[in-house]
Amino acid sequence: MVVYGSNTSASTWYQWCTSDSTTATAPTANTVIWNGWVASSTTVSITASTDATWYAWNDGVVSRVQVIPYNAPSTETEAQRQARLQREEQYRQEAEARKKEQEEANARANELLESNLSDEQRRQLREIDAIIINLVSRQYRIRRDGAVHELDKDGKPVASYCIHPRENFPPADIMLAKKLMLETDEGAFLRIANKTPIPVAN
Amino acid sequence: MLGTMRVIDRTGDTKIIWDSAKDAEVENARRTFNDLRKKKYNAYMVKKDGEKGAVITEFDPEAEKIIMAPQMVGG
Repeated sequence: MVVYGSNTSASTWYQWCTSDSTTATAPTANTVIWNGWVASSTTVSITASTDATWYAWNDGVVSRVQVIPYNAPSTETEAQRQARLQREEQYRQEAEARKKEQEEANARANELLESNLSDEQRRQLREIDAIIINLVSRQYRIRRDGAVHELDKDGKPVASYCIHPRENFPPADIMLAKKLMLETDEGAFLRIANKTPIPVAN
Repeated sequence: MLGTMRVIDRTGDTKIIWDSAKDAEVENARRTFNDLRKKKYNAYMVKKDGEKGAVITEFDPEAEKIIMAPQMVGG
């Protein structure tokens, strides 16, 4: 830290820096003590148990203090630097590979889902990123973000069902799994899923 | 007749194909089916274009298309 003061006397500053018995007190917006330090060589006795003094210094004496962050010189050798750069490059490549794998998985899952939809459901998927399942007694909407809603005759959600695989799979795969389960065994779906009714707005 | 089993997994899905006239391929597909069932995967025999399929508990070598989906739990 570089500090510029209006006084060349640094007796108080040196005492502050070299003695752990010196304490300082100052209200948050009061810079009197600091002004006293830099304007006078008189020793000032101050007490502080918090960083209020630091705030006071910086709040009121912007024109007098320029704080420059201290950047410690690097202690890294050239060999260490090269090793670090290699590691960073390896991490970057691994992250890119993971991202590519995920994109390919999503593409395969999307293809599998779409090949198991009706034309109408494919249209719904394009337009609302969800598919509607029409069963004898109920209508459900399965969204790509995982939400499953029971819809009333007007298409408004009346209940939410929380159900998912134990592990992570691409979103389109999970949509397909839910669709298949609802269509073939609605009873099992309703037993397993946690249902939350959605109040109907008046 | 060629049958296809699509196993939902982290890669999207893994495809297993068998010729119902070839015992080795049928046996390989059956083994995969049974292994996944032990892991509590649900098996669905599906038809084309989103038509409603059916739950199956035994491997059917004459099935055209089977989807193996992971077990679901309440959230």
